[in-house]
Formats: sequence, C-alpha cells, structure tokens
Amino acid sequence: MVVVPPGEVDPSTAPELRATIDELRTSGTDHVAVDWRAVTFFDSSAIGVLMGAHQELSEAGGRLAVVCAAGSRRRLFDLMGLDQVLTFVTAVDELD
Amino acid sequence: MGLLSLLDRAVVATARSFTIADVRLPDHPLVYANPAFERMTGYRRKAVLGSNCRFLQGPGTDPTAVDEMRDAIRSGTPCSVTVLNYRADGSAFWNEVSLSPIAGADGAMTHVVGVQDDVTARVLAELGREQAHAQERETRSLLESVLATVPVGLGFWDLDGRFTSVNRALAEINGVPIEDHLGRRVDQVLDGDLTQVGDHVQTVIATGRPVLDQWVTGEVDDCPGELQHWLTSYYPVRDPDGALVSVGAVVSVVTAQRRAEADRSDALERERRARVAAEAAHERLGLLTRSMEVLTASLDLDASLARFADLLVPRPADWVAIHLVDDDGRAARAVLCHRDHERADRLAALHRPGDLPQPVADVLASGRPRLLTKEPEDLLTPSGASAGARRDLGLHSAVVVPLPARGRTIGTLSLARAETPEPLGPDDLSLALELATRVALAVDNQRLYARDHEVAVTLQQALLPDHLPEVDGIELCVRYVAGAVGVDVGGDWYDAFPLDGDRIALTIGDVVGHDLEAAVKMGELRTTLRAYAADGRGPADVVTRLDHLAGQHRQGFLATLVYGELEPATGRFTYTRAGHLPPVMIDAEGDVRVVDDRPSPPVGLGSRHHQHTLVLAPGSTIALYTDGLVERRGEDIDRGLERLLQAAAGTTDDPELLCDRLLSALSNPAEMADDIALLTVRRQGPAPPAPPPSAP
Repeated sequence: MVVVPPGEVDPSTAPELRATIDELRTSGTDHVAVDWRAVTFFDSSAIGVLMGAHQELSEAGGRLAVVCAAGSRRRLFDLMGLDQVLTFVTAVDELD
Repeated sequence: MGLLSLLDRAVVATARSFTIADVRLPDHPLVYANPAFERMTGYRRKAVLGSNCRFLQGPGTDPTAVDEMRDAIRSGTPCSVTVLNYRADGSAFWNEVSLSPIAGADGAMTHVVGVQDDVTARVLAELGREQAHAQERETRSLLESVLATVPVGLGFWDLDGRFTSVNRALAEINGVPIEDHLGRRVDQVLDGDLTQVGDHVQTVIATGRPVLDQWVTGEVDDCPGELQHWLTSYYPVRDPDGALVSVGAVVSVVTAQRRAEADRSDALERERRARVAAEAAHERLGLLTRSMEVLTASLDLDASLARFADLLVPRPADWVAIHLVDDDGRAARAVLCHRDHERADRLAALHRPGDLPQPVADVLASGRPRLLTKEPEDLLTPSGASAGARRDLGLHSAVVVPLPARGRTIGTLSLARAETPEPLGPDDLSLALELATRVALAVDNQRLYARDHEVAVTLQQALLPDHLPEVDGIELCVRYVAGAVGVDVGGDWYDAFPLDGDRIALTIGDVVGHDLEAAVKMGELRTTLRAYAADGRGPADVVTRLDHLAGQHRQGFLATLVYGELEPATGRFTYTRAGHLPPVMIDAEGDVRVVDDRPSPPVGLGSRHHQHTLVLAPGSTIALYTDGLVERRGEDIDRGLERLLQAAAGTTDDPELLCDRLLSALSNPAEMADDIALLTVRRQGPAPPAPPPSAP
C-alpha cells in the first residue's frame, strides 16, 4: 500500500499523513510505503510521523518503506541516520 | 297596295325578327321567318323553314325558359321569355322571345307568332349590375360580421364628426347602445376625458392624415372609480377618387395590460429595493468574513488590528479606532485608521500613550455601546486640542462599542463619519457590535496564546543549564533563541557538564514535538543523560541506554542529539551522533568542514548506537547546533550547511564571536519558525609561533 503525502509535510499537514498511515495499520495493512518523491519540503514533524509509523508497523511485524530518489531529499534522511532504520527504495516496483 | 301586302312589307322591312310556326303540324315547324331573323341568328330562312325553332337552343339555354315557352304554346297564352340562344356560327346571344298564339275562325290555335329581340347588351348590363349588387351585399355582410365580432372597437364618423357606424365592441366600450351613437358627435355621446376622441377625429378631418397610438384614460359609468385605458388610432377613409369621406377609428382596451405593466413596474421596484437590501446584507457578511480572516491570519496583533481597521474604511466608516486595555483597565494599545494613512498617523501621533478618550472610557465603564451625536470629536481628538483642530476633523457621528471577552470589556471599537455625509445609523451600530465580538475574540486569543508561550519559554529556560562549566584549556559559548510567537516551542536543548578526569560532556539535542510536552521530555532526557554519563562508559553506552529508556516511554518518544565527551588535554572528542545534524569543525587556520561520520538513528527507536572519535587540534573549534540554524523552507539541507560553513570560515579566535556571526548570518528573523540552540567549543591553542629568527 503506497501512501502519497502532500507536497509539503509540516506541522499543519503531518497529522493527516499520520492518520492515513494509522488507518492502514489498524485495518490490517502492515507493509506500508510512503512515496516521498513529490515532497518538496518537510521538517521534523514529518520525521516524527515517519518514525512513529515505523515503530508501530515494526511492532506489528510489518515495516515502513520510503520511496525516494537518491539525491538531495534523501540526504536529510541519511544525515539523520534514518537509512539505517527505514527501508528506502527508489521505485515502487522495488517494494516487496 | 293592299293592307296585307303593306303588312307583309313591314314585316320584311322591320329590324325585329319575326317568325311564324304552325302548331297544327307535328313539332310546330317554322313556316315563316323574316330577313331580320336571318340577320339576328345567321340562319338562312330557307334552311330553317320546316324545323322547330329549338335549333336556336344550346348548352347554356335555361330549360326552365324553354318549358315556359312550351307551356305557353300548349295553353295558348302569350308569353315573353328571355332565353339564351345560339347563332348559326355558334355564338350565343340573349333572345327576348314574345310568343303570341293565333287562332282560326273556330278559336282553335293554328299558328304562333314569335317576335325575337337580341337583348344581349341589356341582359349583360343587368347581370353585371346584379353581380355588383350581390358582391356589395356580400362584402357588406362580411364587413358587418367583422364589425360585429372583432374584439376591437370600430367607429366611423362623417366629416361633421358625427358617428355613422359603431360596432358592438365600441358600443360596449362606451357603455352606450349602438343606435344612441349614430348621428351624434363624440361630445354628445362621451364625457370627461373621453371627449379627446372627438379631438382626434377632428384632427384627421382637418389634416387628412392618420392619428395613431393615442392613449386615452378615463372612467366609464359601469365601473366608476376605476381608471380604464384604451389605445386608439384614427384613419382617413377615402373614396376611389381619393376624397376623404369619413374617419374610422380602432379602439383597443388595454386596461389589463396597463395594470399588468404598473404591477410589473411596482414589482420591479420592490425587487430593486430587495436587491439593494440583499447586496447590503451580502456586503456586510463579506465584511464580517474578511474581518475574521484578517484577525486570525496571524498572531501579530498589531498587524492584524491594522489590517482589520483598513477593511472598514471608507465604508462603513471614515475613521476607525480600536482601544485595548490591560487587566487593570489601563490603556494598552490604540489603533487609529483612516483611508488616508498619513492623516491617521498624524492624528495618532498627537495622542499621548495611555490616553483614553472620554467616550471610550465611558463605554469601558458601562460595558454598553454608545452612539455619539454631541461632540463626536471627543472620540478622536486628543485632550487639549484646539477648537480649530476639532472642527477640521469634521466628525458628525460616531459609534463606540465595547469589546467583550470572557465576561470583561477588554477595549472598544469605534467607527466615525466625517467626509461621508450620512450619519451612522442603527444598521452601522449592529454591524459594529458584530465586528466587536470578532475583534475581542481575536485579541483575547492572542493574549492567551502569548501567555502560554511565555510560560513555555520560561519553563524551557528553567530547564536549561544556568551556567556553563569552566574548564581549563576550553572556551565554551552557547546561544539559545526561542522561536517566534505563533510557533509552539519545545524541544531544543543544550548541556555542558564536567565529567570525572577533567573531561567535559557536551550535548545538543532536539526532542521531536513542539509543545509543552516536548519541553518536559527534554528536561527528563537531559537529567537522565547526565546520570548515565556519570557512569563513565562512554557516549555509545550512554545514548544506547537512553534510547532503551525512551523506548519504554508510554507516548512514543523521539529525539535527535549529539552527545560527546571531550578531553581538553589531548583534544580527543568521543561522540555519538544520534540522528542529529553533523557538527562543524573550524580548524586553527580557519578552514571549515562538516564532521560527517556515519550517524546512528534518532533516539527512541531502540537502536544500538555507536561512537566516533576525533581530535580537536589546538586552536580549533567545534560547533554543535540544532536544525533551526540551518533549515530553510523550500531549501535543500546541504544549502543550509554550506551557508553555515561560509559563515564559520575564518573565525578562529573567539567562540562568542563565532556564535554571533553564525546567528546573524543564518537566522532569518522573518522566518523564525524554530528554536535555535548553538554550542561552540574551542580548544585553546598554543601561543602563536614566535617569529623566525632573522637570517644571519
């Protein structure tokens, strides 16, 4: 299941993204992917949502994947060491 | 000559055709025909003798006429019949035949004498006349039936202006029987306004030209009190030679249409008024909606109030004033607005801060709105203003309404008119009251928020270290800038504390979350970290244990941090970077680099953390910071890091200077969305190298 967040994920839009992922999780989907390719701006609230989702999905035996092209957007994730935590793919068909 | 031969010669000579038939012989043959017969019929006498004169009959001959002749002969009575006969050449003619029986001595009929006349011309003339009469009768009866049935009134007058003909419809319109019109003039039949009909008739008679589309309005006897309307047109009637012989008129009753038009224009007027009212209501609603938008768009109260006041000028008011008071009732803020901003500024400048105009004070005290009709200038002119200045304002009406919030009056909203001539009225007062509730709500919210924010900042400050440790060989500098009002505040922190062995622990961190809760968590984290650090097992161990603890936190806990332990004597700096932005190093020469060793994930995910070691050479500085320093909306993180490097380059001597430089270069007051924490650590360097001895 691929979730596409809005172009800007910040304190005003992050809660909705969280809610979408939560809904998927509570309705039984535990392998969730977030398509980050169209996101132009995100801050720590986005990180918070991704981390929270990752924790909950992992606890349920699933995982959170992020579809993101290599490059500058991926950079922030790498700087924060999140590549060690989340599954990153560059295209949707790479998802399991 | 004997009489008989004279008779004979007369018969021969006469122009009238003359025949004798012998009725004793079968089929009554002709026994004599005179020359005139030949001339009339074209038949030779010799050819026709011995034949019955029916040879003259043809297809157009009326059998009835023939029967009449035969019956007359049979009965022996004379007759005279006009019958269509045919000449020898086939051409037809009307033959007036007079038959006379001749009897013998015994009285029995022996012969029939016939005298024939070609009466074609006469018959045709008669026929023509008959036809003309018949046509005329037909036309007249057609006309009469039209006159009778058509629903418009038709009237005719002779050249004396007397009615010659009136149809039933016109008689009904006039309420006068048809016969009572005829021969009379208009003013003898109609009265009042309706006599203008007679004038129009006279005009046609005089000018010979039609008079068209004249409205006639008046009353008729059988509907007294009700105005009727007619549309009339008058035409000259001419004979075939073009001479005017009479005047005709067509009269239509249009009362119903006129009434419908009047109703329609009444309805249009009502609709117009309703539309004006609806537009006014719509405008008012739009004003209220825009006010809400403006008042809630930002938490910068001054800007919001100024923009809100601008919405209200020049309509509905020329001047708008908002006065706010604090909890003690003292003047706290005043906003003054006019379409001409400069004029408003000039007037505002004349007021002393803390001044409350008397009308405002009155409304604050009573909590009730006031409509100022006497001396409305008191509202806007400062006390002590000259009479001339008061007159110049030209205020003629004003309303002052209280701003109600949670049971108190927190200020007033005032509207005043000067240039607009109409005074403010009840509609404006009710609008002001509605606007006042919105302004009050916005102001109160902002104040509550500001108070919350203050509390949060105070708490945060309380949780941060109140002094920095002093360690030999190390210069420390820290900066903390809270985010602007309007943004929740929370999780950035820094810490620096001594460890045993003359070492110093340094931390920079960022708890994810922007509320008071985050600030509290941050406090917990800081305390816990200090405790674990004291165990002396190194940064990786400290942070891993911290992570484990955070993972047990009920509410899901996430933080990024850099925790490091610095040995001033050697410059060894062992650190763990958990999801946090990389530190920046400025060496003794002023060169800068990002310390980009592989991080571990943020704290709170149950990860295992590792540590790195670098050496801080003498004279070099390391800077730890939070993302508020480098992140800008819409920009890649690397761009921010580059900016940081550029700002830091070359600053080698003074950590305080470095902090100032970094903050001024990097923080963007307009965009100050986030907290900024900055910790810079410089390892003091050796004395600058002695200049080389001069060469021998």
